[in-house]
Amino acid sequence: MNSSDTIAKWRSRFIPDHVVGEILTKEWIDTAIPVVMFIASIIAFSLLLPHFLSLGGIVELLRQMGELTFVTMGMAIVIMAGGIDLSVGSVFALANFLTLACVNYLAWPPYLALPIVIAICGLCGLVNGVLVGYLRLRAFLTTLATLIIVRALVDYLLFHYGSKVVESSPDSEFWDFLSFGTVFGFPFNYLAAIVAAVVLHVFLTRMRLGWHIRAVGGSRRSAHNAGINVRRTVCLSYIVSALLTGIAGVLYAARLNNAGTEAGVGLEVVALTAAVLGGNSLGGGRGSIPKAALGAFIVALFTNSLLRFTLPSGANPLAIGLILLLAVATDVRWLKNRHKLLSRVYVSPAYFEPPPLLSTAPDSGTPYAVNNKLQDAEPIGLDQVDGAEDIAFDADDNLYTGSRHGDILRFEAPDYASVEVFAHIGGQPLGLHFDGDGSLFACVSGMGLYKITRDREIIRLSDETNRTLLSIVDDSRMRFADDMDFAPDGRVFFSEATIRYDIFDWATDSLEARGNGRIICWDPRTNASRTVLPKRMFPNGICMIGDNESLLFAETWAARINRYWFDGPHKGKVECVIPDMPGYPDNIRRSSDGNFWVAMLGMRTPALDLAMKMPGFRRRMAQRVAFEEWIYPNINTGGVVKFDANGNVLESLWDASGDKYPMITSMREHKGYLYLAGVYNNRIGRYRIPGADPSFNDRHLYWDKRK
Amino acid sequence: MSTMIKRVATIAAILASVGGLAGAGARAAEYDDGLTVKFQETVKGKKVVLIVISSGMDIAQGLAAGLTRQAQDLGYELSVRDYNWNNDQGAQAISQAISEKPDVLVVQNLDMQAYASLFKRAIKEGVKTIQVQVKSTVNTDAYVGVDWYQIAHKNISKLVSLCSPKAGKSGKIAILQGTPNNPTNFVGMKAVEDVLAEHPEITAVSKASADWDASKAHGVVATVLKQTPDLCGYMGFWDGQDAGMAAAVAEAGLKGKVFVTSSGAGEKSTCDKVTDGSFDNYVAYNIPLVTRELGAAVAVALQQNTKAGAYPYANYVPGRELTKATFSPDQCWSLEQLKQTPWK
Amino acid sequence: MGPRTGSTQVTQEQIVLALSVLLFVAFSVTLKGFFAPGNLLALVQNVSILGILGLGMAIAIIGRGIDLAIVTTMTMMTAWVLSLAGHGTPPLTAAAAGFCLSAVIGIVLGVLIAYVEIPAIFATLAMASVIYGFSRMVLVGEDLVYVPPSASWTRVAGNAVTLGVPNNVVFFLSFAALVAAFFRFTKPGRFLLSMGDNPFRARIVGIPVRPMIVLQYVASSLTGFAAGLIMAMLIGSMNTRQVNSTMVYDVILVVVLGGVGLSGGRGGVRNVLVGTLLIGILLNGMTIMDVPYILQNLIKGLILLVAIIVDSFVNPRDEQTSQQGDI
Repeated sequence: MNSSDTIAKWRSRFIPDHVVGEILTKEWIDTAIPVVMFIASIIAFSLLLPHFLSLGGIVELLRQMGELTFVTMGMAIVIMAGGIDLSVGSVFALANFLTLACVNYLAWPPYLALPIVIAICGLCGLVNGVLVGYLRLRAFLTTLATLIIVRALVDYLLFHYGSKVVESSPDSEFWDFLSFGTVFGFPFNYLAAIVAAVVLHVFLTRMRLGWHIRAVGGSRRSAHNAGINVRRTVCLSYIVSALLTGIAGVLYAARLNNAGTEAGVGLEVVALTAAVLGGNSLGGGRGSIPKAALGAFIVALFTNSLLRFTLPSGANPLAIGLILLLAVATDVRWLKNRHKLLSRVYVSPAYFEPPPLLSTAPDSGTPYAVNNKLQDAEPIGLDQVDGAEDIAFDADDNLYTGSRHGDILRFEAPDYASVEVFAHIGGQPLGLHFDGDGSLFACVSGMGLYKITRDREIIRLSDETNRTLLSIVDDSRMRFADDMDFAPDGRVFFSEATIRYDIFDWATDSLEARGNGRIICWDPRTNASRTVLPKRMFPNGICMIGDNESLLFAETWAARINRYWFDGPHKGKVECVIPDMPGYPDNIRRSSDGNFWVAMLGMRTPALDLAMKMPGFRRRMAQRVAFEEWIYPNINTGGVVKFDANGNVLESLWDASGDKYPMITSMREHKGYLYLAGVYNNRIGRYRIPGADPSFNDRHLYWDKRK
Repeated sequence: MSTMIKRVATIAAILASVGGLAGAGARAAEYDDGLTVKFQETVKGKKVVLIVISSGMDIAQGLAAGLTRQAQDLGYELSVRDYNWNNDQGAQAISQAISEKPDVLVVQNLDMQAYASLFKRAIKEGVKTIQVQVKSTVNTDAYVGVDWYQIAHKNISKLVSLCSPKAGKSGKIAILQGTPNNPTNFVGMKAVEDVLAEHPEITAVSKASADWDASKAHGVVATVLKQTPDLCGYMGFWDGQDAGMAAAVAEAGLKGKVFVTSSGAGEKSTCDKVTDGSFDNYVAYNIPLVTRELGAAVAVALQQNTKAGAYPYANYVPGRELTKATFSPDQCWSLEQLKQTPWK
Repeated sequence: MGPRTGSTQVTQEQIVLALSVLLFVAFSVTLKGFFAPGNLLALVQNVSILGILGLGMAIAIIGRGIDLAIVTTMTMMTAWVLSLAGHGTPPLTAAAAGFCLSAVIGIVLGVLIAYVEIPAIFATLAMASVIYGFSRMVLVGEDLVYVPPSASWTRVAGNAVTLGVPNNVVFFLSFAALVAAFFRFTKPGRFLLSMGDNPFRARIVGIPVRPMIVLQYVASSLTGFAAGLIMAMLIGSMNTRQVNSTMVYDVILVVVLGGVGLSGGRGGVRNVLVGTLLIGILLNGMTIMDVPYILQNLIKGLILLVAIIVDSFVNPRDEQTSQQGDI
């Protein structure tokens, strides 16, 4: 190994490049920008302002944030639903006036007055909602019109009753509590805002109606086509916004007792700034209540702190304007470039030194020499199968296979001419095995380990395992369950090929040459799963070796077959059985003569082997070249290899022409025939094995022994 | 963004150094009449916060200039904050100031109610509070400023006497309002209504509001003038808005025929409107005197060791009527002049 | 996408025009002194500045944008010019400086919208705040700035009457003619219309979309600046607090009322004129009736609402056709 190889090897071992891409896939990365801004501004202001972090100062600060937080949350909900509410400033002023009118002038008790005021504000929201939601007017113009109208209404009321409503203020403890009350030293109005934030967050993230709001904002058309009542949902968002604004207006009235005409003027701009700054995307779909609260906090912090510097007038609007510009620009650029950035950095190749490449030439004399034996295999389900990755047989010899459409198909014995959908699962079924009771176990990509009983009942056995500490990708969820086998005690060992890619990107995982996959054990006694063997390169082809304590598995991209002891004195040990396959091994199955069949889904090529030692080259390729042009494994040629438990390769079967069985992902020997499956093939093959046991059924190796 | 922060830092630094220098001006030992030294020592190093409507507003500029000069001369620390016509920010500034516990807090109100509860709190927390130019419904240690009723009363009385049918005029006048809740407008309208009630021979043909906006004022006045050709007088409440009124009157060729009254801070640039005949009668707030009286109130508050809010008092500064006929340049003030007037 | 002006279909412009005529007749009959030549001139004069701003806004809207900063640009730049002149700069030099800074504002707006790709609503909203804050902090020290004595001749020009028509009406009409010619006869004008109609098509056929967007906002900013100068000439002062008023909403009202589609590409100068006319008649009638200013706002708001409701019935949208992020 030369020095540059060594550097590449150590670099890819110790610098976790893949983390960058994984962080970018996270939802919370959207919030990172405002959070950083939040922390930076707190640090900056506490350095610049002497009493900034004193207790009194903080309480004072929070007391002034309560109302803005309420309004911003309302604005955020409307934005999430794909609209905008400019009328909040006017509704706020209306609530302020009405509260003062009810409490001061009419001398109603506050507990009676407040719900009425808030309900009236809700009515304003209803007007907006009906106009924008049901009549489908443009949100911007409509709420602009209601802004003018409600503001005129407030001005009119103020003109006639403005002086009267502030002449007296009620002598009520409740009222004083609203204005200056604290709970454990915490200002009441901010506490109320926090409680409301929690409630709204639960509503938006845990309840059906809340989901509808974001669905409508994300895509109105899709939401409509999915049966969501778009109009009602949009209407609702405006009502919620107006209600929250109403609450804010009430708190404002209690705090300041001010019936000035300038109450709430320009509030819509501030709330909008806060909502967007927090990371709520204009246009809808993306956003959350914590983001809104965070945005409101930052904006209030800025305006309040700037006020404490003795600055000329104008500093505040300048700051608000610049923050809004910065926030929207960041939001726009981030939305536009996140996926570009992600697609550039997500593929993160590591160093891998492939084993020597053995020749498969027909005259090479190796056991891998290409022949044309599979040419004669008869087709089953020609042009009916799509995505047949594996095959299984029930006690009546019916053949089962998966399909790309999320079905398990059943071909009727003995001629396998008629086909039916045995079960619809949803995800693409990969490894299939029958247990002793005649239930079909299936590894389903994107879903996990499932069992389908004879009565076609679908039972989920496992879709999560223990989460790895410090893993950024949430690896507790199963993304790519691939193949499985039964241990004698009923445990199921199954492989998850990769935790970084979904099935449609499976070949991209080959570029990384990193141990992204793992082997998981599901225990029926506890109905729980645990990862037993992490960090394997596309583990695949689980197959019990027959000694009740070890199994064979293939590491596809490493072109090797390993043996893993899950029990017994060597428990935990992994030993390489075949280190140097000329192709990429997939499923491993038992043969009637006590050996093992392994499928090769594709063949290694010198170019890719060379590239494996050049992670930098592969990274540049992934970043700069369109993915259609990448060097991929050659999956247009494959074959079947028989080997024994010691790793001696016995024979190989090929379709040299490549037009019938170009790719082989699995095979199963059943009653004298070898059945061949390839996930991209248009047929299942049936190859008569010369001299094989005509009664052989691999299930008997598992279940008859115990009987 | 970063340039703005730099600017903020620079301005803060300049202001800090100005504050620091102010204390250095104390005089060496001099004759002590029993209070001289005590006065100097009590006042020196005290902290005063002045919260004004807008640093761009002529009245506020005058007040700030006067107090800044006083602070320099007496060696107390003055911090001027500006809430830019926004009551919400004003409330934030006042709360913030209360939590900083200055020796005296001076507030220029924008309206009569907004800070009532905050003033109560300031007194409770022991912060001596002086209100200037507009008085809230709550009494604090002192109020210094004009009497809005009197200002409007002077104008409307003048208008009534000039336009009365007894004087051979039509008796038709119009009132141009600003925003209804502003004390200038609110208290002023009370005066207008009181005077009009005493004079049934005078009719107010329009009481439209122009929202303190000169261009809206122009539109309203132009229409009213077209509509009432025999209009005798037009009364406004603030010179900024009334500039539009005067322009509309001039444009209609009625300058000198329709009697225009206004009121305002009486700063030099508005005085020009008296000399050029735009305003026939103008009541000025006499800001130099208000500033002087405010300074006195601050000095008293700094020296008296009484409980905050215990002895509220008011000092109403009378407005000054300016007309073209009686005009003399010393009736107007300029910012430069206020900045240069020493306190002692 | 294209203009829906079928021969059988009633356009919003026609509805508003009919409404204007109706109101005009009603006011002429019922209101004493409404149908006097002097009053009719006052009617147009009172809305001429609004009309000029409307023309600037129309340029932005027709090109599929919006300029919410137009009133701020107008106010602050004019106040700056007056302030400069008040401190001794010759008035014309001051005006030239204001012109240049207004153009810079337009360029900044255009770059933010075209190159940074911030939606026009937010870019202009934020810039309004920035322009006000910056000008207030650095350029203009006073809330209220008067036309200085050195420029008092402008007052004469502003108040003068040409051939019996007040000068600002003349300004308004000549501006309208200019903008109409821009859209009809110049390449950039045709480009803007085409971009407003369908920006993707415009880009495909080779129109330099981004530079044109910059041009569009430079034009709207300069129009705002011009309106400000005319206003200052008329009333002799500029109040910076105007920035916080609802004037920009009035401008949008004038433009949208006349039938300029907010989604761009639809409408022209004629629509602005019709919208301005209706508002002018309304304002004038209401002032004669001594309707309180506040109620006038209410009525304007209701009319805007009615106009967009009518528009939604004339040009319906639904879940299948509405565009994402189109607010």
